[in-house]
Amino acid sequence: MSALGQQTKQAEGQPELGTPTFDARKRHRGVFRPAGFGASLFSRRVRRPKKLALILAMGWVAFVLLLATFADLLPLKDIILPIGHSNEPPHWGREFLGLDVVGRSMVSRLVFGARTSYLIAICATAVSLFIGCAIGLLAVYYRGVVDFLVNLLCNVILSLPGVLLLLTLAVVFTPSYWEVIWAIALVKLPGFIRVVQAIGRSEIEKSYVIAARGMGATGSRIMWRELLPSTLVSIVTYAGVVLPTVMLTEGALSYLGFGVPSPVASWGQMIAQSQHSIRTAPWQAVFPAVLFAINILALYTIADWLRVKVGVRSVDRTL
Amino acid sequence: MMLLRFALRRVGMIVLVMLAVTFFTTLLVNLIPGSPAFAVYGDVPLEFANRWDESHGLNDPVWLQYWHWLSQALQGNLGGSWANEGGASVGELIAGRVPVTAEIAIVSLVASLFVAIVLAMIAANRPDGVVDRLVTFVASVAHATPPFVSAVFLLLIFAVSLTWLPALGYVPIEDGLGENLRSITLPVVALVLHLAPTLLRVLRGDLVSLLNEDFVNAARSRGLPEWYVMTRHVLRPASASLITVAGISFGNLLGGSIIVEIFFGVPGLGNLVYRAVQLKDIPVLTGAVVCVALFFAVVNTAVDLSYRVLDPRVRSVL
Repeated sequence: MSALGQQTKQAEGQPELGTPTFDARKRHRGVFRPAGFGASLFSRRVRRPKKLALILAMGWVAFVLLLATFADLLPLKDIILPIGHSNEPPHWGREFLGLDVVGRSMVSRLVFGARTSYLIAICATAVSLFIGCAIGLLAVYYRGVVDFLVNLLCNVILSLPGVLLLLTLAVVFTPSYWEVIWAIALVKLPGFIRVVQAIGRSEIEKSYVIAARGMGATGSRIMWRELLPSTLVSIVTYAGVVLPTVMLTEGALSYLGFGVPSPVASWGQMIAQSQHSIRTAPWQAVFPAVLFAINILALYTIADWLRVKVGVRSVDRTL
Repeated sequence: MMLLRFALRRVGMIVLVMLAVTFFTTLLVNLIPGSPAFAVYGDVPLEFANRWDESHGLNDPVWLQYWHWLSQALQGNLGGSWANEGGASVGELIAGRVPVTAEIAIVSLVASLFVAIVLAMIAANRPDGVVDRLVTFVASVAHATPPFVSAVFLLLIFAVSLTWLPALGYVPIEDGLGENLRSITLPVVALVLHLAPTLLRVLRGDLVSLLNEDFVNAARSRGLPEWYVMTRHVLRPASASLITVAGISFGNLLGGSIIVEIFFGVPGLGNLVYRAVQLKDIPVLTGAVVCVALFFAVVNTAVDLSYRVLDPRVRSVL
């Protein structure tokens, strides 16, 4: 990014291309943009999210994280046992978000659902990051057969849409926190491996690695002490980009009924459970749906900002 | 020549990946705790489960099981469903479901491309203008809303409040095109809301940067109208990356359609897979996985090849 930024600055410093001789009507305004604004086919303009949106997003995520962390200390009703009649509508005096099908407090379940979502999103991203780093560095260092096998692993994981792969895995696993985390981490692995590989392949050619080799550094020293630090910034930024997609995947998985098992609250599962009574008790579906979308949006906003700030181009362009 | 070598290498990789994926699903059967007979038939005596395992070859070594499956599959026989023994074969089951999913996926893709191209051209026409900001904002909200969340709102608004569209079910195309289209509208809209923002973002970025190129200035200086420059000069080079992203997304669309199909009760491939997972009906699951993976691989390879054919710069790098 720094290189790109310099380029733009240089280009802006250059004199403009001379006064155009043709009619400068309003619709031609694109002509007068400084050159170098988007020089090639592949450099697309980087949009900085508006400051306000970023602050709102960060505030929101911090708020939800606080609620989720200290959910036990908050004066919330029980999330497992019913506290009133089923399908009681939202009411300011009593339960301001209403009760669910069984008669459990929606507020409590939403707050504890936030805990599930964030816990799984953060853990799965971290697991995927660590394993992806290790595998990617091994592939970069040893090349040849290892590289081929790692490539095959990535292709096998990528050969199915994520949801389908998770469903296939769900045949075997009995849903629990750890199994969901491992399964999602596996699905997100190829992205991390590819990022490490892409950066590592160019870093390993550089003189500092060659110097280390010359000084007789061992393979593990080169991988962990030389290559890893130079990939770390990009990989952590990429983790920020992946985090919301992990949360999406977790939501989809628990919507399908293969997330963390039932007494634990999760948003996807709440949407799924409310689906039968969606005509009579729409609030049961609407609140978790809105919360889920706002969280993803906030996380995307932060990730976008992070990506622009650090300047890592996303490897996966569909993100 | 380079292209041929590239294509051959890709095909080799696809074959390897398909072998690995199918072996992996065969392996899954053996990882299920207890006999699959319990999942399929409910509470049955242990002897029955043992006999069932034996007759389905589940006590054989994994490689032998895999060999049996592979030799049959290569002859086009994907075996029979466990949950519905003696009924339709896996091949027939999948063949019955594919048209439904294909219809929804193709309509969604075409609609997404249409929406994305039109909106991207309008937005890129005045970068950072009011329209552009509005479009970008709506797109990022839609992008952050997964299909099972947007489906909730679509259902509530269009099926429950306004009652314009049916909430659930699927009407086959033989029962009238109008009814058929009405029944797939909500699933398609849910998928378009998921897919179009991705395409829009990529295309808008490409268009904005291309509009600053010299050849655009040249075209404008010749007095060509703005819409002509946009549609004839800029859209074509910008569509190269759009094709790539659309290709990748088409695969993800199949994943998204699993959820949408379940939500709206559409009897497509997604619902078949979901039922198969619940009943631990491994032959059906394996068959579906093979079909989707094969389709996925073909689409990705086609996209890569077309990219290389279209853009000579990429061809030389390989």
